[in-house]
Amino acid sequence: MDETHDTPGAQSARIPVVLRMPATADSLTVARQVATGVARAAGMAGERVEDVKVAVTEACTNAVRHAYGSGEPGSVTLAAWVAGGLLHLSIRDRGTGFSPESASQAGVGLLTIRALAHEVGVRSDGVGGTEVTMSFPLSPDA
Amino acid sequence: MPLAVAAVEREGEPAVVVAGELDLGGCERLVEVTARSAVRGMPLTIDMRAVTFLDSTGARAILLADRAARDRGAAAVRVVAVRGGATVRILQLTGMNDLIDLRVDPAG
Repeated sequence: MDETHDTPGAQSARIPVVLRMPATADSLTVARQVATGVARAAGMAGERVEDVKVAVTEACTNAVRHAYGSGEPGSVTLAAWVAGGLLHLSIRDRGTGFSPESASQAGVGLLTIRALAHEVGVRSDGVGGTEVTMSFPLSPDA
Repeated sequence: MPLAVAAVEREGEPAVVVAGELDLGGCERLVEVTARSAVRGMPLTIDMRAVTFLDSTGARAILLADRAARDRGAAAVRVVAVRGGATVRILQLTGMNDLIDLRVDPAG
């Protein structure tokens, strides 16, 4: 484990974090709260925490909207950890047929993530779902 | 902070006041309330000053709300947001600020 913080309250979080949620719009608020908690626990503040919140929401929204067929239940998993001076996040679904570049709004979401994050990766093979990974420097000077 | 979308009247003109976090879950509501609030021949204001979170899906919803109000005959649609706040930041980041009449309130 890279870091542990015991700050009480809804905005605190232990790192690493793995959170599995239903792929529904209601989960976006939860994902955002967890992202805020891990970013603060990792020592980030201000606009950089907002960057993490937006980027995580964009990736989770893509999973909610595009990963699963209409009415098909599914899940999205958010993982966060710290390594090499970076906060790393992974947003993964188990859907099929989701190509993030193929849907226009998903494309806008990915462009937004790319504008905010230090590094972004997308893996979508159409069989095992889609995973979006992103990292953010812990230090504001990085 | 949960999303709140309210139709109001300001100085005789229709306005939609949005507060809280606007993401996928609140987009339809914003578009519906804005469309219902539009009055033919009158300007309409979408007041985003109390919005605490916005992503690209929410930004697109502002654009759709703008279009819905114009389709209902609104003479103009103004979007008001706080300088340096979530709304202005994401609208600029996505380039959608160029597609709407964005009025930045320096006082918030």
